[in-house]
Amino acid sequence: MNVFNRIVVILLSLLLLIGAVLVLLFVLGVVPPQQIIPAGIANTPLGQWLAGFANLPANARLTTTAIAALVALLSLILLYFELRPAPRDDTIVIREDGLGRVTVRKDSVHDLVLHTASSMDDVLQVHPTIRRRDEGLDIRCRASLRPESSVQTVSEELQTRVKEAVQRHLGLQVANVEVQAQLQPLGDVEPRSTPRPARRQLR
Amino acid sequence: MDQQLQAVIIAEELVGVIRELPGVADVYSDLFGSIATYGRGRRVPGIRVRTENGRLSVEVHIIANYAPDLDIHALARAVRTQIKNQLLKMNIGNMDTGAIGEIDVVVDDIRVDAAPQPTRKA
Repeated sequence: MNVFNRIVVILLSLLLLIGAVLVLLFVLGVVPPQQIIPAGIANTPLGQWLAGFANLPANARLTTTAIAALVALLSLILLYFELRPAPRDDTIVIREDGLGRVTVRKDSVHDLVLHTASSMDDVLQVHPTIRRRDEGLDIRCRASLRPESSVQTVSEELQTRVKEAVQRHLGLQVANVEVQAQLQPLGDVEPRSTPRPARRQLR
Repeated sequence: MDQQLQAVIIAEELVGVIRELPGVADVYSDLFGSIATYGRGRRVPGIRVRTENGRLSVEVHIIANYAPDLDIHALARAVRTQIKNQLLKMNIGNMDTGAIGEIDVVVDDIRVDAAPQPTRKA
C-alpha cells in the first residue's frame, strides 16, 4: 500500500474510533453530550445527531452499544496494522550488480535445510536457526535422531549435507553449521512429515 | 494511457511470462498485498512495477520449484532475461536501453513437491 493510501486509512480509522468512542460514552451515559461536543457543533445536524444517542430507548441502547464497540475494535485493528513498524529485513542478498539485486528470504534457506534433513532416515525432527554473518551464514540445527543411530555420525553427515545443499542450490557462503543432536524428541517442533506447500501463492 | 494503468498492464504481462519458466512455481505475495502493482481498481500480486525518472524498475517475488539441480543464481538470471525480453517485446526500452532500470528478483519460498527418499547408512 502506498503512503497516500496508508495516510487515508489511518485518518479514516481515527475518525471511526473517535466517533465510536463518543457514541459509547453518550449511550452509556458516562458523559453528557453537551460536556464534550463543542458549542459551535452542538447546534449543527452532526451535533444533534450525536446528542441523540444520549436519549435512546432501552432496546436501541444495547444494539447501538454493540455496534459502536465493534466499530471501535475494527478501527483499532486497522490502526494497529497501519502503524506497526515495518517487519525486520529477513532477506539475504546473493547477488547485486548493475541490473539489480537477487535476494532470498531466510525462510527459503530454512525450507532447504528442512528438506535436506528430511532426506536422512535417522533424522526425525530438525529445527534450524539461520543467522547472517560477514563470513557467511551461520546455521544451527537442533535435531532429534532415531534412538539406534550414532549421534556423531549422523550429526556430521547432517552438517555436511546442509552446508553442501545451501552452497550448491543458493550459492550462499556457509560459515558454520552447528548440529545439536539428541535422541529425545524436540518438544516444540513438529515431527517430520510430508513436505508442506509453499507459504502463500497466488494464481 | 496513464502511467498507473500502464504499470498494471506491464505487470500482468511480466507475471504471465515469469510463470512459464520451469523453475518458477509461482509468484509470491504477502498476506497484506504490499507486494503488488496497483492501478485503477486493478491489482497484480507478486510484482512491483514502478516508473521513476523515465526508467522502469521491476521487483518480482517468486516461489522456486525445488529440484536436485536447483541453482538460484541461474533461475534469477532466467527470470531477469525473461523480463527484459518481454519488456523489449512490448517496445519498452528498445529505443533507449536506459528506459529499463533495475530488475530485482526475490526468492521468497522454495516449493518442495515430493519428499526426498530417505537414505540410511548400513
